[in-house]
Amino acid sequence: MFNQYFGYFLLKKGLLTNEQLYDAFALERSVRPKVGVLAIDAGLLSAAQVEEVHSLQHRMDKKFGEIAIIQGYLTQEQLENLLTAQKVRRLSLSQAVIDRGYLSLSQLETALEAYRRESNLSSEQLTALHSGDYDTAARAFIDFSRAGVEANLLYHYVALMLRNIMRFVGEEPTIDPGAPAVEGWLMAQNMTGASDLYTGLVMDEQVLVELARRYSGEVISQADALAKDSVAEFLNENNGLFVVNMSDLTLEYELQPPVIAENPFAAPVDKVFRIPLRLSFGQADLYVALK
Amino acid sequence: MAAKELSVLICDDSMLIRKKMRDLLEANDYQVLEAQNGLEGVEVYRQTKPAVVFMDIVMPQSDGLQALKQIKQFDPQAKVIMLSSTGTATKLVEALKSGAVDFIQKPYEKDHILTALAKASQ
Repeated sequence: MFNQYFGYFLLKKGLLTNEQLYDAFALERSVRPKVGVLAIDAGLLSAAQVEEVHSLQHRMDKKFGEIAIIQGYLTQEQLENLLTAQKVRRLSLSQAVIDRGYLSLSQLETALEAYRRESNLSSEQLTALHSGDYDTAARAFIDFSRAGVEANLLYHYVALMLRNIMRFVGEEPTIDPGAPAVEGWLMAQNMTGASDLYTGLVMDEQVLVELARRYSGEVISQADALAKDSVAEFLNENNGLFVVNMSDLTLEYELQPPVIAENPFAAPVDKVFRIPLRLSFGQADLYVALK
Repeated sequence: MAAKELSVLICDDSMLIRKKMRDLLEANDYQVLEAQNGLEGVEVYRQTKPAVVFMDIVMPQSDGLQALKQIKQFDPQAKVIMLSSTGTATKLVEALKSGAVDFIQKPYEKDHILTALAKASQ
């Protein structure tokens, strides 16, 4: 996750071109070992067990290792050893840009120092980004203090959305707090409960088509009804998982049917938050609002 | 009964889900009927009496739990499988008490759909 945040910083600073950044991302991803593969390598899991855990990941808001422990396939100690091995064998974006010759070592060092300084992140927050912790990322980049006691609920919601974009769209999203609002199609869904929660995704047609195509696995080449419905269904499934998570905490929410509109996000409440999400193919704005 | 003789009703407001379910079921020789909300689902059921229904819960006009109850009132032998993103314990209990034969949470696995369908249509 740090790779994505640092990568977009390099892009904004003009230190890398768009093509160079995505080439470096591709190189970094190509050598990133998965925990499941490492577990097979180590003789801890069979391929069938790994496939079963992958399958369960579609229905449970949990990481691979957490589910493997629940299923009794791995012990906590075995998982920690695998995660350590994963870190050791992971190629960082920094290494990728050096290997490709896009930056010199001294340019890289200067850029890293500038990122640490300008991002205002604490060492704990930087560590969280390195370890792929979406909850901490949400707290580092978004200020929900206006939501008062319900801020934790919103952080939980945003972290879940970030995880599900990764899980169902195959994209590691980053939060880009300074990005201007995008205009285009709105896919929205409300949840009623102790405090009503309004949610929505806004994106232009290009992002809509790409997000829909990746999520649905269907042949989608234009912003037609199927494309819009696919993004609405993604929001619906994300929100369904949120409702299940909340129910486990004894907070009951009722989902309302999703709606699709060309209008900007509008909720009949004061506490509206826009969270710009950067994806490799463009920006989507996530909206959350409380009543 | 061979799969190709069985008709299955997919009641879901999502065009994507209806398409993906139709592709899956037709590839496995089932006849597929569609409805976009609970009201339509009850009406299609009354007219066609499909062997099995896959019923979403969160839908406009009439939700899936209401539709389930109406279908079971019309036909106590109806086989209705809930297919929903809201798989909370409350919804699960309400659906099973109302006569649903199974409950699958979205996002679903294809194998899970086919297994539940085979079991329900026995």
